[in-house]
Amino acid sequence: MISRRHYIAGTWAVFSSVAIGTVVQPFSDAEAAGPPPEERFTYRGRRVDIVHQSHGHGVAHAQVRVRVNGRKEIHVHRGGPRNRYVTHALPFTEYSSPQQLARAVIDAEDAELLII
Amino acid sequence: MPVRRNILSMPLEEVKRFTAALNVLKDDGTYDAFTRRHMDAMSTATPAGSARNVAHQGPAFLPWHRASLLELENALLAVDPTLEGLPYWMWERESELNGGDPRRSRFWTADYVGSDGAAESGNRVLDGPFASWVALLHEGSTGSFVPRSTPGLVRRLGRDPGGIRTFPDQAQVTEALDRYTVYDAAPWDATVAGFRNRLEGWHGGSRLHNQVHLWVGGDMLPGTSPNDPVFWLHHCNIDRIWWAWQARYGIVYKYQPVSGGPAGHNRSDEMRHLLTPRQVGSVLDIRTLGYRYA
Repeated sequence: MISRRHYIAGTWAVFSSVAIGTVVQPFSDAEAAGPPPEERFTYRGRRVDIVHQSHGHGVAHAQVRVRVNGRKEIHVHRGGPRNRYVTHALPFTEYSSPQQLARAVIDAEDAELLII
Repeated sequence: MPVRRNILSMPLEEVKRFTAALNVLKDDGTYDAFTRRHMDAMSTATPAGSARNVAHQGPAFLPWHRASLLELENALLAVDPTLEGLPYWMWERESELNGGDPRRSRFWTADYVGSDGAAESGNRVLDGPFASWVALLHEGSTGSFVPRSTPGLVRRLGRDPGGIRTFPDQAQVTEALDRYTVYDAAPWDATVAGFRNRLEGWHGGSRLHNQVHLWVGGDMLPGTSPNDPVFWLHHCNIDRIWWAWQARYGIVYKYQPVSGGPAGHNRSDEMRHLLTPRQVGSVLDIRTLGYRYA
């Protein structure tokens, strides 16, 4: 049974999410011409967009693009032993998702190991 | 003929001459060109759009690095002809020799390659023969290389959040040598259950080659991993293990694919992003390359 207190808390959470979502900066006109991002998040001060581009062969063959601050891209490919995500920026492991991969590369940039 | 030996069994005076020669190559720019070539190889997918590149995640992983080791060895011998050869770091024995903690090895001291990075100094290596080295960073968006703004290599032994805490041991090496009798197999990538893929460290979880990169952490994590000279000592050991496998199962004819594989990985293909382009088949027998392991 949902209590009144939980109902109010849940409503507030949904309202907050919508409000936070609206303050994310929109793409520029040039960016808007491309396919829409499927996920956008902020990590260590960078705005990250994950874009899946299907080539008509299903999810397994979809190309993934990871954009940082709308200007730079992180190299990413489906591959590795479990067909997860790999990058030549950090080439000795695989990542379970493009999000995890993007965070690892940003961590590496902050550790001064590479430049995105 | 160069004789490659375990660096921890070499007299300290010889270790010093080896690291001094590396410093000469670093100062004149020769060394950084090796780092650039490794990153360029890493960035050259084969075929285009594949996760495999001309030097990793495919059959030529071992030949490409053997050729690159040979080129560095030749450069070192040109600096100091009294060197016996490129040393190797026998990392699979480090846990056993150091009470289960490979960080305690004397390898990680100023006499050899320098210590672990200092956490209070951005995980920079503050001692040893490479303490003043400036790493070359790769800028992914432009493909260019930029010197790091401050000197000091980055290491985080067994504690890098982007790395791994566990370290390979002799049992892993023995298992790779005993169990994997096939060098490689179609589709020639990170999914196959062959010796190359096991030694590279993709098959069966992060192991051996990949595991050492991830355990050392810091500058050993990106495609510019030759920034840390530990890269060469590590890969020389990988090459030694491959030679042990070749001596057991076959040298030239065991290499696959002969043809029909991805460009740059077939036996007669030319390997790209080396100082001197070489065919895969030309580096399969170390006796013809003129060095041996002790």
